[in-house]
Amino acid sequence: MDNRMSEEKNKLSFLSHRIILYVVLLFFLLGAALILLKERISIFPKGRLWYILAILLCFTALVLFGYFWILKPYSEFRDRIRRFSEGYLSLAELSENKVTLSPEVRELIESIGHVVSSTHAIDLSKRQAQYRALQNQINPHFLYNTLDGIRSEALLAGLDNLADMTEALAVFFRYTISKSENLVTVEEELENCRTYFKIQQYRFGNRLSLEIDEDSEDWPQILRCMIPKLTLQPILENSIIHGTELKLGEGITRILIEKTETRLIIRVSDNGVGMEEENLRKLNTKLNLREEDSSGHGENGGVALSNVNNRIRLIFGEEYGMHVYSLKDVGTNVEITIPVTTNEGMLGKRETV
Amino acid sequence: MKREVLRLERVTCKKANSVILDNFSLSITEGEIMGLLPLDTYGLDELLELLVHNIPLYYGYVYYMEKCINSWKNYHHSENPISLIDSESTLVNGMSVATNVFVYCSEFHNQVIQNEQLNGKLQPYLKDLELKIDPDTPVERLSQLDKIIVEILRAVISGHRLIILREISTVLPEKELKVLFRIMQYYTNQGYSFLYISLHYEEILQICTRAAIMLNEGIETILEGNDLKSDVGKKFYMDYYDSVIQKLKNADIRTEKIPLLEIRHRTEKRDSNISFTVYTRECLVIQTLDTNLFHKMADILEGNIESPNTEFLLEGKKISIYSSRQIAVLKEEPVKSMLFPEMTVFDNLCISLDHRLPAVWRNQKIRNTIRQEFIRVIKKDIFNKKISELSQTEKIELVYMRILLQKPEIVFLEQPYKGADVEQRRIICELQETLVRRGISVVILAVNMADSLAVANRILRIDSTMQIREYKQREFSKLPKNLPWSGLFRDEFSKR
Repeated sequence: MDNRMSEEKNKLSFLSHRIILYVVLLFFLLGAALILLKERISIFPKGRLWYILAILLCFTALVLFGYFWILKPYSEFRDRIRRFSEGYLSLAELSENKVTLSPEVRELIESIGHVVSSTHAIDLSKRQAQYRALQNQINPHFLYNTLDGIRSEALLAGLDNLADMTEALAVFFRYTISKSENLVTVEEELENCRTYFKIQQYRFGNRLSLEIDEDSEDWPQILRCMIPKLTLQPILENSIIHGTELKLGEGITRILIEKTETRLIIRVSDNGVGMEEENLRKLNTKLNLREEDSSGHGENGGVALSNVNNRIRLIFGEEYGMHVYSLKDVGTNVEITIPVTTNEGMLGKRETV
Repeated sequence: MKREVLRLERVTCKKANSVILDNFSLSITEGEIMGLLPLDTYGLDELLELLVHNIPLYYGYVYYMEKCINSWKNYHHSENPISLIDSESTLVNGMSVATNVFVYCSEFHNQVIQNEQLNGKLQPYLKDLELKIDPDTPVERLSQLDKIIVEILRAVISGHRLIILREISTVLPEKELKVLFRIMQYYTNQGYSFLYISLHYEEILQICTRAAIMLNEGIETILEGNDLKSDVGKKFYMDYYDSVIQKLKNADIRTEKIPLLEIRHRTEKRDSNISFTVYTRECLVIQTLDTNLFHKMADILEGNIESPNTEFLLEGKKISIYSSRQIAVLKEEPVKSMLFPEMTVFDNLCISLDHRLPAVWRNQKIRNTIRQEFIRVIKKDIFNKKISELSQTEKIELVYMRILLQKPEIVFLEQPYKGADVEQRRIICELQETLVRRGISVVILAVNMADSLAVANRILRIDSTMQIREYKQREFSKLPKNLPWSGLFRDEFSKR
């Protein structure tokens, strides 16, 4: 209650200061206008009427000027600052404003931008270096040859299951490590999901099942649409680890993809253990935050979802992304919205990661 | 290819620095009936305001027919082509059906209304729906169902692709609800979409293909297919279900069969005469299967109309229902219609005490006693607060406490569960039981029984021909299957 009262007091004092400022400015300008008009009174034939009209005109112009050029842009900028401080906007979006800022404030925003982007760049290059080191250590061709060797030996020994499993693993690695494109077709991504699920089924047996709804009349077009590489597999993995694996009885994960005029809507749902309302709220809030803020919340879980969401928003814009629905003991549903894209050229000038 | 009629993408709205919609995401496709089950009512009014009138967003995007119509970046105050149909009709009384239907149309600019022309335009729509509504009839003469149909027609003719129906079942009995569902199905086949808001899962099951569960200003989950049909719905009402089941287990025939109030209504037609008795310490539910009859009964009880043909006999003596303090009436949504917002809780509480304690306004001792009693029952000290400072639940408690203090013999409650969320319904249910325990007979008047079944000892169903059918608690399982709670009675009594 005290916080609320002090907040109200602050607001009131802020408002009163602003009103005083405006009134002083108004009187000052009005006074100046009056003096000027009085000195040139002879230009008005009937004196008083024109005099009053001119004052009123000045007054209206001043009010309009104050509202449209000062108050409105200022309040919009204030709202942007508030959204930025709560994590909804990035620094780039904060700087897109109509207010003429003082050079010092502009410099301040730029220097914050440098700090944020350099930290981000360091973080990114660190992750990239780690990834490269891992890739170099693995040596993809050596890995595939070895896996092929294991598969051949397994076939010779009559261990068909082992052979299939090794093949699935080789296919999975080939897709995740070797393929360097940012965007892949839905067909390729679904194939990778099937491969990943096949590997998981060796562990869980018939306890888990994957259903991909292919009944849509637009299915051939859907398969040709482009989505960021490794969009579905991390969600599928999440659904198995945090949902169906913990469930007693059969766990079903469904992938449903729909196409509208402008969007591709992907739903990955499971009948797993679901999550508590509080956790769901935290997860969705985290997904809604800008990249710089959400990456610092890894300890609360949902890192894979956050990464997928950040990549979608970076590639396609913040209007797109991911939202999670869940109900305890009923299941979880992850919904992804992506614009309909059939080739990378359609992305235009948008920067890809 | 599917087409999205509406998409709310991570919408956050704030009012006076508090969040009213939090990360709200929802999509409705063309030709779909989407259910919305609010487990609490926080943010529901604002959501509807956002959909129909566009309110500024704190964050997020709103798309209508795949075009962005509102976002945190660009806000334009404008009306959206989305219709909201509530239990309160928005038709203009005094104007004909045809005029009401075409009033929003862009071509409706003629200064002289050409009724013949409008009627001609309307007829094909009525013919398609196989309805017999006279386009010249003034709307106030229409039944509640016809009013809702006219509102749907107005939306369709105005080109609104999304129609929101909010708690319509509170004014329509089951039979009329089925007619409405048939019309909704007809228009979904034509590509129109509906957002059907109901506080009852059983009702959503009957008509919706998908259902969004709303809790704490956001969408918790979306159910479809088998998930929607399974027993998932029970999860939302678990506490409420448990309390009702417990009550049913403990309840034997509680009613002492002493007649208290007899109501006789005579008409010119002998077979239309009705008469029934309310007994002491019972909770009687009167369900009128005709909305006009419900309104007539409510008007008589509230004293809006005088009915020389209706007699009220309290313990054998004829009484005037308006002036008698032995009979109390709680109107529909009493927190809106029966509290004085600028007065304190104490003033509102004691406003009907003058017959019992004339000195209540000047005697501090009496006031303190009332205060203690009030705190003991609702376990909160809200005595000096103004009504505007109370939560919805506190307002409900206050209204019922006023009845407890007034201590009438009988209280008539008009649609007591209308607009109440799950938690509030549980509280209303408990308060009604408290009234019965304190010796006050409770008579619930309802068009749709909703949760009344959970508290009722006896039900009277009156149809449009004034025929009464009585159901005692053991016969509740014979009530129509789609009524909320009737399934519970079937389960409970089959176990016994």
